[in-house]
Amino acid sequence: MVLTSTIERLRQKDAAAQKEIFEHYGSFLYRIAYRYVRERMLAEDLMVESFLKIFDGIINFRFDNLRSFEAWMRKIVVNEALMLLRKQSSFHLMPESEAIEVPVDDNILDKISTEEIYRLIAELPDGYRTVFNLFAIEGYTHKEIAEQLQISEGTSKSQLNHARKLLQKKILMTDESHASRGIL
Amino acid sequence: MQAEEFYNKIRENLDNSDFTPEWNKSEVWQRIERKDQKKAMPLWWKAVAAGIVMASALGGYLFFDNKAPLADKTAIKKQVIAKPTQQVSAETSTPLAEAPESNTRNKISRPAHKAIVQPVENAEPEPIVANEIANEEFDNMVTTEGGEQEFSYNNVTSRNEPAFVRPMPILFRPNNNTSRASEKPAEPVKRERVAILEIPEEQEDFVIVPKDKKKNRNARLAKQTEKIPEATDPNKPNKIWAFVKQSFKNETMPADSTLK
Repeated sequence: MVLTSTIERLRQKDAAAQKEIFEHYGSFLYRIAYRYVRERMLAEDLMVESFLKIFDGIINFRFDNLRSFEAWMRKIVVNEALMLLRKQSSFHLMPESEAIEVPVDDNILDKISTEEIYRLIAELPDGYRTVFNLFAIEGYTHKEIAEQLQISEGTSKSQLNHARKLLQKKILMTDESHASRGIL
Repeated sequence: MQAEEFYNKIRENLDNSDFTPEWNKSEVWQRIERKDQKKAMPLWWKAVAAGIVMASALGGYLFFDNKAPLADKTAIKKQVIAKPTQQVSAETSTPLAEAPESNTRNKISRPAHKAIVQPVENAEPEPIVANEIANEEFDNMVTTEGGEQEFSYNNVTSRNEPAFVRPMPILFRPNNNTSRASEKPAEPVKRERVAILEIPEEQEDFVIVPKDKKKNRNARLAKQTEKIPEATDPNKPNKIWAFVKQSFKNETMPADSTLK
């Protein structure tokens, strides 16, 4: 567990404290980065840039508790991911006509693993995946998403709706493939 | 399944799991360390660059400060080497002015500057004869040794040698151009003496030629012959003859008596 003294040493650019923070929060932040960019190399690049900003910005960060510290680091990684996605030409929003409503069982999510969920989220188009990550997992509002992605709130809502339908469909297909193979 | 429940289920699944996609943790940390050092480098480089600039500025100041006296020495050496254009028969040395005291820059030990040597002509002033006066006047008539009266300038007559010749003034000019050393010295300019005659109006020994009354010239000549019988005497010198004789004598003399 990271102590308050570690945060203080981190403010003083202590290399040992930086290493300690990286070891403790590295995997947690990498998972977030991977959900946005879905590629290992890009996720690692995001980690490098994010930790450099964390080490530089810790001087101006007002430390209250570990949860706020974690939320602050998480926000840095998300912002870096959004910046990277904006730079890439692949970042675009999916047309709404492509999404089809698929009914999903209540306990179907308990049957699939976290690894499967990561893979299914990664298969979503960039626009869907980004809005879904921001709203469903990070807890952003549609207004914040619209500001971050420079789209309207309605577009954010519809993109989220279509992302959800597509993901449910993928989960259902995964469940059916498992059933056909006799896993479940 | 409601949308909110779906989102919550996925969130719980992700938060409660320790699953992490594969990644190279140590390599990422090394990259972070390298980039962190590179970010710190510009601060060092700024300090190093500022130090280099300061050192170069100080070195330049000291270099040019020490170079100024060297330039003075070179100028003095050039001045000494320069050859004079005139013949050097004697030398006079000009002592250098003493350096002011209590000057920090002059406290630095330096080799003494060579004295500036300037060539001069060997010109010994001749003793001034008692006859010479600063504002000399014409002695129009003098009595020669033979008892004859003659028109003279400064006691110089057609029959005696000049007692004193005023030495020509010697001009000293700075020898600025060393290239002139190879040129031949200019020949002395021949000077001519010009005597200004003041013809007396009424002198018994001289024949005055009238100018204004040319019409009655013969009559006036006859009248003068009656008055002054010596005027017709060819052996009697007149003042024009004295002037001519004096002129011939002057031409035989060298223009510059200092040259031998």
